[in-house]
Amino acid sequence: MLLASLDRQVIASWQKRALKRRPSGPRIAIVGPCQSFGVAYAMKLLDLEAEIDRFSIVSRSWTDTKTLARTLETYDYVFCQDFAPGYIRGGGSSETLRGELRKGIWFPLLIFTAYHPDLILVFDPTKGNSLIHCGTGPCHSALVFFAYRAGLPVEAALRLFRREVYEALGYFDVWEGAAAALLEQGRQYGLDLSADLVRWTTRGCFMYSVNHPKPYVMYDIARMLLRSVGRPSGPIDFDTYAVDDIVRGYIFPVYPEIAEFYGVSGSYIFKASHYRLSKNLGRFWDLPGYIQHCYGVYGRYRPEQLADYRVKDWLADAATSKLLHDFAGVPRGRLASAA
Amino acid sequence: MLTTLDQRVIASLRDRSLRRPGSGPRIAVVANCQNFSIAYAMKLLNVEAMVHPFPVMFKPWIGIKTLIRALKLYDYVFLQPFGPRYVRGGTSDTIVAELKNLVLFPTIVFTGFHPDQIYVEDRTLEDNARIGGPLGPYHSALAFFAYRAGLPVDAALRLFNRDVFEAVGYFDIWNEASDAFLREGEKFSLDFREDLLRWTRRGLFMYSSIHPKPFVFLDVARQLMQKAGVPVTPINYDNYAVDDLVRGVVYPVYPEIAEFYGFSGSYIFKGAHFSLTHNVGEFWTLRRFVTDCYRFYATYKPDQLTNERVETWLGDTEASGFLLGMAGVQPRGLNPSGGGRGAANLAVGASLG
Repeated sequence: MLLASLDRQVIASWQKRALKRRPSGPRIAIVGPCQSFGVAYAMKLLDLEAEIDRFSIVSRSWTDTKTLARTLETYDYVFCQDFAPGYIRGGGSSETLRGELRKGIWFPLLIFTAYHPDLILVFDPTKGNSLIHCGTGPCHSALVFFAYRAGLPVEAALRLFRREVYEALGYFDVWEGAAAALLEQGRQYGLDLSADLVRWTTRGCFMYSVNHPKPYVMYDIARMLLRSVGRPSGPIDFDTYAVDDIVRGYIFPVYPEIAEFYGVSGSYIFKASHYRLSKNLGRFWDLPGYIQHCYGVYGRYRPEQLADYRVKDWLADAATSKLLHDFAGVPRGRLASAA
Repeated sequence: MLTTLDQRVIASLRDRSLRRPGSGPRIAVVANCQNFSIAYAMKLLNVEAMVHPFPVMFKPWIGIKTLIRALKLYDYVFLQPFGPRYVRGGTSDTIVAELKNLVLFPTIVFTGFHPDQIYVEDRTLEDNARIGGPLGPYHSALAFFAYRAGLPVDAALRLFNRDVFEAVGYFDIWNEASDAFLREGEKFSLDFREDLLRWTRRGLFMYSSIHPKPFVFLDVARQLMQKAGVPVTPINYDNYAVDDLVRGVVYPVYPEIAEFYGFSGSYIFKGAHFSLTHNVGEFWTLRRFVTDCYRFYATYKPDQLTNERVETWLGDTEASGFLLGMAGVQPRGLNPSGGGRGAANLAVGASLG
């Protein structure tokens, strides 16, 4: 088994300890999935004297909960985000780490859904609800998935991407709920994000997808966390230094109609994850290309292997299903009779 | 070992899809450290295009003829001029002589925000090759002067203040920097006047004098594509801007200079760091940066290192005396001029050598 980045960080941490290397400032550990780099990087810029080690929970590791907790206990401050089971050996998760770790300061995994109301997760019920990945990682378009499940051709699916459909499905009515959910996430961890949310909003779209914030969001979280332990918290001219790890991952577009509604600019360009920048630029799809790509992905699964929580309701609800069929230009009766 | 240019050339020569027309144009971008950013912006401006970056940074195994053979597979080639050290058997001129579908463009350099940033050369090496320091090839003129003048680090730190910046002309280079940048564009029949205004309105647009921010590349890429006749589509670029260069060195805009231009600056020097998996990279405060520069310089013989501007300062009694005075050191046989704008011969030009 190859060592995961978490394993390498654990080993590096103990090596440093064995060599008795002590920074002039505190030793700080950041534990978490994709958002942890942004917080760790911002913390380093805010507190140059600190030694910041990132323990990224993004792939299956050899390290188990006890080893991770024992390593983290050697740090002065440990900031942790929740993570699901499946990454830490022995079925460990953030819940089990909470049980082992005394000095953890927990902060939320930021999720904000308003810019991407069409984004859903598709999973395979025959394999323990494991997520199904497409070009945009685990993120799928509900409209594309509906069209596929309804047996619509690609051209018909394409006709679903319009303002009237978004209005009918409530895609313009999600801001309040999304904002309230984000603020509640913060509150659960003792963080008041209300002023931050306003500031992020004034900068335009601040999310690449529902769980991938832009760097200045993570910078504000880092400031709050450092302030909570009495360390330097800026401000600094972060935009001059903002290394953005997350933008190398997948990007789910803010559809132009939705972007216009919020006064930002949008697109129908879907971006795949691409981390090695040395000779290729990565993969992008326009909307027809993306629909075709997703159809190709879904075609590799048997119908019973594809599930989600939203599209199944649309399909089951006669009115919604008829509405979408009509917008797609393929009335339900015609499709049924053709079938 | 194969360089990224070797790998790109081999991949292109083996790529069958390059030999038949596709739905979009086939584009090659041959450039230095700016290659990825230009190519990436072009891809987003025309998602149907097949865009391949050809980085000319480290000497590759392939020769110029092989490179040209690969470039002939593309509908459009965008090329930054490069000299004889980079590819065996030729220069960018060799490519220009062989290809018709070519658009030349300059390396984007803008010195207005980083007037203290210099290169330090080793006199003992061929063509006075540049030496590396904590920030790669980027050095501080004031720190290098202080070292050459034999000042301790504490005295060197006293040079980083508004009075010194005023005297050495660090607040007076914007116009020259802009003119130099626009002239460079004109040499390639590119008009950057509107772009420069737009970039300036966004505040700081350079990480160092040779590393622009992504939105600069978007505008450059758009102009290049329009010049070549490649269709472009508007794009909300800030939502997609993968920034390769910010992973490299970030030379700070000193707070006094940033304030002069109406934004905030710092004395945080960022080292190059490309692998983001578990470390966040290395950063220097001003004191640590100067201390580490001194350590680097100390590994060379005293007269081995040179920089044109610093040599001028050292060779000029008034300039040298002023700087030593500002550092709090009484110059031997010199009268410190004590600050102010009198030391006209200190001023640097936009070339900022």
